[in-house]
Amino acid sequence: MIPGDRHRDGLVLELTLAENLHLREAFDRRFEAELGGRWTLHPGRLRARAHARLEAFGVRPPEPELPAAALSGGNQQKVVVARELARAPAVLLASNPTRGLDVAAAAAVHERILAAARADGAGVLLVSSDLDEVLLLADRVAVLYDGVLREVGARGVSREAVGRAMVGA
Amino acid sequence: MGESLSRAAVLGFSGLSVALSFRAGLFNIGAEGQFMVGMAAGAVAGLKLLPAGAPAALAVPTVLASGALAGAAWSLIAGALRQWRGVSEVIVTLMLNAIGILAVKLLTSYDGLLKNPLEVHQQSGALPPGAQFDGWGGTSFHAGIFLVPPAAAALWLALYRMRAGLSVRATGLNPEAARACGIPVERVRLAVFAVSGALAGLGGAMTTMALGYLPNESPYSDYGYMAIAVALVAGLHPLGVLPAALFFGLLETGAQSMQRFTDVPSEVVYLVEGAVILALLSRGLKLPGTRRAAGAAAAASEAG
Repeated sequence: MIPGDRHRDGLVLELTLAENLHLREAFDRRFEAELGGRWTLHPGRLRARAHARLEAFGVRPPEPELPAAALSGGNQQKVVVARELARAPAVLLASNPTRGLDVAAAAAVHERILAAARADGAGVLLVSSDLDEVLLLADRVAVLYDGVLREVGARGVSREAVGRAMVGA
Repeated sequence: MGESLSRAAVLGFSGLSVALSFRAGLFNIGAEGQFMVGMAAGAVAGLKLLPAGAPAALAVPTVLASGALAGAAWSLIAGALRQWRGVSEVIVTLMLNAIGILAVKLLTSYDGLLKNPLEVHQQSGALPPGAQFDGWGGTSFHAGIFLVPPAAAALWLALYRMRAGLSVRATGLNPEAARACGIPVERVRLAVFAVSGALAGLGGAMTTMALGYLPNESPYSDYGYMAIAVALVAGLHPLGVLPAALFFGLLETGAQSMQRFTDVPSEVVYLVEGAVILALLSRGLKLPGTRRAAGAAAAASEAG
């Protein structure tokens, strides 16, 4: 899940990037041996994995020991995306994943979400108040109007069609 | 010196208890009450559970474990009320402190369960010799003091090297994000209530063992509140609790001999304690807006 409010739901700002990146995997039995023992976490391994992932997702600076609060919003969001995609999820829920990001950072997040869907076969449910983002990413577009979810069209659907659905026409 | 160390040991256990709770975002100010029930449970175990000739190898762990369990149970009352009834743990732990203090008085009152009928003072009979920590060489330096550093080290390991510790710290700093990442925030909180209560209870059982009996009130009254100061001065760091507890232990002991041998009242020491706490806490003080400004500056320099 990629939440829209990264400061409330996404990151623990006071914890380091290495810790933030492993908030899910640390409690997933499948990664137990990779991260430490049955009960323990090996800080060196966390750091090494985090460094590799920060590099891969283009987070600047890729310093695993920095607190998450030290990064800019765009880089923080990349950290959230990096964590959520690390376990190759079957389903990804993204709610306003690029809220407050600059163009370059938003493009990087878009690219990662598309890659998760195309290359790794994740089902992605994107909820966004940014219409350009929806039209750019979505294979199928639906509008929730008056409590009813109505499919408007597939990729390439016109902005006007979506707009009409949004006013209930 | 022995007296300072045994005071520091009490402050150490309670300080670790407070540090752990605060790390998890729980304002458990019940170290005082958890300490009292730890003292009482240690005495009950020593006097009612163990045979008089119990060897130390059996008696010491039994008494300590009873104290820890009682402290944990006492703390979990507040944990459960917070969890399922939404009652502030600040209020409940504070109230439980008073109940704990009175429970010890009740146990040692004239027809109390543990009152020693042969004793004029309101206190229990002597614990079996195996369940006592003797003062060494006529001082109040006793073996129980050696329990504190390992406890601090264990808590440090748990917080910074174990999965459980990561979940505790994440829960304390940002419960929303922790929950969103699948950390069972409610279970973590209950576990923290239990463990922090157990730590304070251990200190209580240790005190009973060092005294050799259950007194009718704590020889270290209000140390459960002073432990909050210890934990804050230590920056909520388990290893920092050791020097902080020692510092306060020395001040407390010094206060009494200073009053005894000079004309300086012991209250001067409490002034010093207050000044130290204020000075250390103001380090982390941020003026309104500075954090936002610093964040914006960082964002500007990182942009792109």
